[in-house]
Amino acid sequence: MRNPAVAGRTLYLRPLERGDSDSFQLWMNDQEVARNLLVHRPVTQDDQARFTESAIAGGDPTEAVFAIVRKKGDLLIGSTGLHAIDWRRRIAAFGIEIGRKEEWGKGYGTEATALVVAYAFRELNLNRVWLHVYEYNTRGIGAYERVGFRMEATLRQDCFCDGRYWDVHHMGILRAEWERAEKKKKP
Amino acid sequence: MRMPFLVGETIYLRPLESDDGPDAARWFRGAETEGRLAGGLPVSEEAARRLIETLTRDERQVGIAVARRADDRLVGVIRLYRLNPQRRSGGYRLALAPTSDLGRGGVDAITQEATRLVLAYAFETLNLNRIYLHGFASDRAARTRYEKVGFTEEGILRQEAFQDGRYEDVVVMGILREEWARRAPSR
Repeated sequence: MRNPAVAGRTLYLRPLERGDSDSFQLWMNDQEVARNLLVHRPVTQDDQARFTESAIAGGDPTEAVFAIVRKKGDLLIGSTGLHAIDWRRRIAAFGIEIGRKEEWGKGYGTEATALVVAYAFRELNLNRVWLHVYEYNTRGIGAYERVGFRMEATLRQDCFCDGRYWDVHHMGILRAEWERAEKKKKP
Repeated sequence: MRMPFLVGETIYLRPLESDDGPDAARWFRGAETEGRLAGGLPVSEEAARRLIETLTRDERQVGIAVARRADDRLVGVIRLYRLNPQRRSGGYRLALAPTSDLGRGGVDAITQEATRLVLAYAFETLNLNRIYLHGFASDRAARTRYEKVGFTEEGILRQEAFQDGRYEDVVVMGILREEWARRAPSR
């Protein structure tokens, strides 16, 4: 593991590095990946480098972005993090992307989500984490539910993709819920 | 394929990078009636790279490169420009590598395939309602090519362009989302 920030069973999270940029650029341009995200334009080397550089530079107290690395082979498979951190209300928005499609369906999204949620409550001392997921992203919805996110609202036709409007689900998890579930896991 | 964004059968679209700038500036100069990258003035390679950076960072434009699947070679450059989110309209411009490099059939095939990919992107992802283009009225072959992918001739702008010492008429062609949807009923 290189510079791990949060370690899990099969994955670890670490800060982004300059060398990650090419992989991220490839994934941000892959429409199967991008359709679940907020990216709708071609992403140039310059776009990606600026994003990566700002994540590396740090100093923005509202962002905590990590690379997701598979322990086996020390393989970069995606990115995740907390955005729009509001320190007064102690809430943050969650985001994730498993860019390496060969690694889909192996539970890595669920594991990474659980690691970030634990980090949000245990390290950052937040009270609530929320996310938006598009209705067609059933893999994402399943992962978030397994981690303990609850469906709180459905934003009707809030997303446009593949030539039509789709609903967006607003999901959230509270620190108290998460702590109760953690206690049950480890009696 | 290097950094594919949208994939066709013989070509693919990828992000327009600043290193594509010198080719882009040359090809637009040959093919354009309006909005040349620098209005006909000389463009150094460095200036061309900067122009591409400005273009790709501009929210009212999308720059896209067209590459051949067989050898990853850059064969064309696309600009969606004057994107108007209220009218949901935008201009489309495709500048191809010199015909001598592509062959006569290459021009037809690449124009049609690239245009189909861009229209699907413009209507199904960017959620636009109208795409228009300007071309030299004297270029009958180009008018036919764009009619084949669904554009309709809307009018002639008299003496709108100036090239080789004389004024030239410019043809305006457009395609509406409903027209495009009738032609491409898939999904």
